Amino acid sequence: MIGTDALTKYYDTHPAVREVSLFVPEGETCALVGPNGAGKTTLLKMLAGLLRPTSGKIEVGGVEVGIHPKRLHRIVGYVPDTFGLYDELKVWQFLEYFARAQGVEAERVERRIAAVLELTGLAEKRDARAGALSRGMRQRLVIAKTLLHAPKVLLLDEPASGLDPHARIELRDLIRELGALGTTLVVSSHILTELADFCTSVVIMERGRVRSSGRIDELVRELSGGTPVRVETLDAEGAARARAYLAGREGVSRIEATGERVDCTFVGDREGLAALHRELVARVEGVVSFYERRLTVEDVFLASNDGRGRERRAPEGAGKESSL
Amino acid sequence: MSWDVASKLNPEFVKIARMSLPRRRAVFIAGLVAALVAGGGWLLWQQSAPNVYHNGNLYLSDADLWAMQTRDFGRAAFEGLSVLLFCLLFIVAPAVAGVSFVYERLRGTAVFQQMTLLSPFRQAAGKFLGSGLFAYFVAAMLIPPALFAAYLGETNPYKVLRIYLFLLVGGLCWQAIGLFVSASLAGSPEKTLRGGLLVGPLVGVGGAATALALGHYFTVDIEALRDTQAFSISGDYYNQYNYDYYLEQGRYWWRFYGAAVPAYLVVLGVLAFVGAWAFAGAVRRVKAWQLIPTGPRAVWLFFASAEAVVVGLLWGRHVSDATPSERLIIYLLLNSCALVALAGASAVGRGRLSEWWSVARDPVALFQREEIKNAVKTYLVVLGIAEAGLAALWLSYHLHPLTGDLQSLTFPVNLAAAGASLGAFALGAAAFIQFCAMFRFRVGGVAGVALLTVFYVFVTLAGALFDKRNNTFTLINPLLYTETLTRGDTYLDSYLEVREPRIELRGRGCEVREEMVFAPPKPAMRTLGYCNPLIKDCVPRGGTVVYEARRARHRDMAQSHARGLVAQTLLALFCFGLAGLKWSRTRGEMLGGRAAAQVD
Repeated sequence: MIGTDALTKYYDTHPAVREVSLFVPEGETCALVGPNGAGKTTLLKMLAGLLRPTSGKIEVGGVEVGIHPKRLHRIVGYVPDTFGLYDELKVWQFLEYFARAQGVEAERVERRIAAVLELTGLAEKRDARAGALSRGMRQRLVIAKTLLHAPKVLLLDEPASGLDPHARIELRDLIRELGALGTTLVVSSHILTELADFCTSVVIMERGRVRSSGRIDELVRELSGGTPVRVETLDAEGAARARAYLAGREGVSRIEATGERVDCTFVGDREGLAALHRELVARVEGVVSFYERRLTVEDVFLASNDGRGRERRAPEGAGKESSL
Repeated sequence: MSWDVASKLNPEFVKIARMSLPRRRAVFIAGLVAALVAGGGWLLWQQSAPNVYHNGNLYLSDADLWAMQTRDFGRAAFEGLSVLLFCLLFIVAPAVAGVSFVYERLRGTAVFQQMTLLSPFRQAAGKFLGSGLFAYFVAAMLIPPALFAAYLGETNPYKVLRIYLFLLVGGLCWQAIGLFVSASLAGSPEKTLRGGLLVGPLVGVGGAATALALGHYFTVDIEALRDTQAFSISGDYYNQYNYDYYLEQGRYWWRFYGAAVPAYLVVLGVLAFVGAWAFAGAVRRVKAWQLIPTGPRAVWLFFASAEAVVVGLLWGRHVSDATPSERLIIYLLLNSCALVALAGASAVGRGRLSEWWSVARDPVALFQREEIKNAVKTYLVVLGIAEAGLAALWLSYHLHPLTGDLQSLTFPVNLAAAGASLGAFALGAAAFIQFCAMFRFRVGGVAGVALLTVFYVFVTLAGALFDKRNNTFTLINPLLYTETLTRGDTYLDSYLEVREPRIELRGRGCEVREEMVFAPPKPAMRTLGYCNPLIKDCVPRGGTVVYEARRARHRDMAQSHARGLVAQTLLALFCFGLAGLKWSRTRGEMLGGRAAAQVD
């Protein structure tokens, strides 16, 4: 759906994006992760046809970016990190303007507006002025206007930036819903936990380059070398015992104990994992739970950092925002 | 929800209308305007009351006094309302158009405008109409009372028509200029955008200056002037046409490709031309802003059509015209400014070069970029158009003013020298501006334009210090070079006398006397025979033309010409050398710097 080939963008002598080649398949929800200044916004702007690359090619939905911008904008929606609204307009007027500007047929405009208002949970605010909406609602209104022409690809740049926890949860649900509808999503953020719940693939950027990219589970397996497993115990002593047992067990590596938890990586098939579970419960006292840990973007990031990132638990700049 | 009306209009216009003139605000403004018009009208009516103790009014009846008051009131009200309309359409609407795109940037909605699926034309048209909406709304309320006041004041309806044409065409022209400026700033960096809202007032000032400078061509009552003058001479038919001819030669009649056209029509035509191209330019800027590829042909067409208009206005020799050489210099000045501006706008700055060189190490790869190819092509095409216009003008000054026959076959020699001078200047200027753009000036090519202007001012001043006017400093300037070239020329720097038959009316017929000499600035009677239906058959077409050189030619003219041309060519080559050296040095610096950064 989205493909780039040796995409490069320089601002004067400063390389913002360097030789980025990636592919995001249709229907994927892709997390674009990296510290501030990694080149995420520049990359998204180029994908949206808002910025001309210095070199390289981009193709979105079969349309080569830079040659047919209008054809591109027909299939792409972009929500920028900072934006303004026409505060004097009512919500329906705002959406009507964009519906007509985006070429929605006249007889479908009203229905389309009702649908996106419903989807974004703004139906009650239909007659409110855009200027009177809260930050979270403004964000949802912009997403609503972006969805009016039913884009196949939606690019969201730091969508949760500046939102309160409640609004973030709502936004997360909305993005998950959009993903379920089959829209290809690229969501950028420097806060990993924002993206952890709903992204199926990830692109990790640093200093303008892609450090790693692909489906999250595959990446974790590839980078961590197996299945991440978490064991929870009654107390820290139990965790220490479990750690000691796992350290001597074949097929288990990268063991880390934190309080009453032990994280490790198991290399083997599902039957081997079941056997490990049985053995652990039988031989170590105080095991409360044993489960295959859910893979998140954060794991990928940390795994791709090869331990370096574990020391800080999050990429640079993460401290600026509170996590969900 | 009122879907029906809105859904048929331009969405951009509907959006602006909903934002700037919602229903309640419209009602309030309408009420306010109505109240102000009524209040102002009442005050004017009071002021227009005639003084019954005035000698002239003592014996007038009440009905006459009432009629006098009504007429005075009508005139004053029409003038006052016209001034208000000028303010609205020449200042307010253009000023609002001037900030239309800038405001989108400042508000943070520009990105939505960039991604809209509205065509750039519809987007610009919506902004154009929307930005004038408030002014149009108030103007629509003021025009009916203004027309009624004109009727009461017994104002010449042709004058009223002229004023309203000026209001309409001039206002729209400046609005289009405002839109163009605003669209040009839409894609500029944040630093450039600082103070962007000042653009609106600046455009408004431009509109006001235009209204003040050109208004008199429309507000003068030509018909009344002609009638008064004709009757003051003798009141007969002959003098009526004599005065027509006088007007034709005067300030209210201009020439376009030799044809006498009322000045107000020429002004309207030029304003419409500028407005149409400003709007087209705004659409093009929107396209560029939305990264829609644009070809160079529209720019070529603009320069070709603008050149056609300028050549038309400066075309040909006329009886009262003594100095075609000055018109040539005006032409060269306009073209030099246009070429320098184009070079400034097309110059590739350090930032852009750096960006391009970062991915293309091959020294000539840069010249394969469409941006550079188009810029070079456009500059050469525009230079070619300027040269063609120069040749056409030069030729027109050698045509017989009455018959249109070519009178000299040697003119291409001097024309070639002037053309070469313009070419050398244009190429040298482009190289110099590109040279300056590669320095660390933030303003890029604009710095080159400024420095170039300073250079030419300096060499002109230096040249003026010499006793001999045809010194090398003076000859470096292409305008002064052409002035030297045409000095004392038979056709370009000469008085013109036309010997024509003189007609004297004798009863119902007329008598023609030959060899009456007319010299400027006396009104010649050349067209008399064509415009007076009574006597046209009496006047033979054509006449004898005598040229008398206005000034003496320089003694060493040929040497001066050669020296000037060599100096200009050397200067142009020097500029090319500078630009080439700076180009390779900048490339070395950038590639070296990046290599060092990569090693780090």
